[in-house]
Amino acid sequence: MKIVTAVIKPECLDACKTALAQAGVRGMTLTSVSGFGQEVGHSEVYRGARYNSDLITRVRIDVVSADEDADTLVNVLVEAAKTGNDGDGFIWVAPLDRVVRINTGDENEAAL
Amino acid sequence: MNITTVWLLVASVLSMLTTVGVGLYYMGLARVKSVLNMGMLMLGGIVTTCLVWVLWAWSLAFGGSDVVGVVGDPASGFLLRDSIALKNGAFLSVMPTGASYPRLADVLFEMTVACLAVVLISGALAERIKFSAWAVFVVFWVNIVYAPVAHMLWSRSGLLSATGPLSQALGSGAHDLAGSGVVWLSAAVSALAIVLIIGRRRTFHVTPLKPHSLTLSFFGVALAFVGFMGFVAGHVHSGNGTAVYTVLSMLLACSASCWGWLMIDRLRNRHFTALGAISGILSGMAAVCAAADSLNPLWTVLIGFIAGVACSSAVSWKYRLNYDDSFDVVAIAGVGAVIGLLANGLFAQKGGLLTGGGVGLLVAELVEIVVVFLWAGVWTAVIAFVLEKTVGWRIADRDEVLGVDIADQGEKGYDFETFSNSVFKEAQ
Repeated sequence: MKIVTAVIKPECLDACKTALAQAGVRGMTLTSVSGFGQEVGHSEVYRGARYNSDLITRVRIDVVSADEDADTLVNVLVEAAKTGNDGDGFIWVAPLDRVVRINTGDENEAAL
Repeated sequence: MNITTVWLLVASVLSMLTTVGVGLYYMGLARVKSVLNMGMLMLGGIVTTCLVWVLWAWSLAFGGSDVVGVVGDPASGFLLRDSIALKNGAFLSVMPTGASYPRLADVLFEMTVACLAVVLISGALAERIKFSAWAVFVVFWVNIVYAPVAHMLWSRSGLLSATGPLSQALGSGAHDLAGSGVVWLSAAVSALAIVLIIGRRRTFHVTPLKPHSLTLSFFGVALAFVGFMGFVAGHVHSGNGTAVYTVLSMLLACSASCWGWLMIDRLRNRHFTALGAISGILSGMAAVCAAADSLNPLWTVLIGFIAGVACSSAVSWKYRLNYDDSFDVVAIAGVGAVIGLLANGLFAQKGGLLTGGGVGLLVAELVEIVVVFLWAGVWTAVIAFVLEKTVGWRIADRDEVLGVDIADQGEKGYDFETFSNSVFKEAQ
């Protein structure tokens, strides 16, 4: 089992969800995150004080998949989340020891 | 029915709206963890002032025979004694001989004016003081600072009023129609005195202390802007053409000051900002009070513009001189008020230095600035110092990190946690 995590621009979220659904993914976890990388934040000015915020808002998608499907999902996500500019985001794949669906008690591949 | 009574009633309502608007503006400028504290400073300030006013502050400011032109007699108007009469089981107002409106209307309106002065101060004290200390402070401040200053400028026998002893010595009374000096300058000087005594926030000039809701601040200034039309015109104490002129003056000055600040914003920061616009409006409000009825429209616009430009430059003083005037009360209220008062001395249609009226009015305005500065500054410093040594102004350092709302009130302004981390303990 693998967990595929993508940190993407919020405006690409709809495209990614659609693409993942078409690839057969029926569940995912979304989190609102902040970060920086190639793209850094902007400056804000409030009455005599200038603040630099280097953190920018991103969305994190976590999808659990079978070992053989991980590469497909990565390609799907790259395709859906790419805008061609700095700050498109990152994807990483990590191994999972065990996955359990709480409702039915199914494990690993059966739980997907 | 007395039309002036009706007008003063309306003006009082609008004036209270201004105060509430200023409070909301401060609430929006605070951080999430301090928003309720700012609200409490506003509301606590208003309710405490109302109570003290009716008890004896009205009397100190405007009542009875006075002491050397500095302060009135607190006993004569205690609990509205000199203002109310009973008729058929209902209270109504005493109508002074020769007056065009009943005394109670004056009590009410001046009370709302005092509330604005008190709430203005609170903007400098954000995120670090206890509500209890503020409440005690307000009681002393209204009596010892505000009432005498109001008496000196606005009471018939006050030192600097049109017929007062100091005015006669100077040759001219200090004309402060709606309280640039009495309200805005005294609040600013008092705020400065307090912040120098209580000190900076722990993370002042270190971590960002950004407004959490400019939307709320915008809403607050929008209310204050509308309410101020009544605040200024109410001081004319009459529903006549002069009252209308003061409203127009106020709108002209505030519009010009808004643009003045926006211009500076654009030049310095490359943006026209919302915070700049509302700050500009407030600086115009401070400046126009002094001479809303005595400057011609051209000078009113010019003074408003200058106030917007000057106040926007003054906001950086607190960083350069390292005092934590949290929401720029000194820069906006103080600088704006001084500009308004001096403008009256220079440009008043009758009596201004540059309009052929000689130097008397200007000198009187300068004396007013000095008197307000000294009286408010010294007495507020004394009150603040005594409070610091007895009750203590500030919350503990670690409480400041936690947030003054939770620490001082046990409340959160916003509860957006999707999972609750509180457990119901007991019903009381």
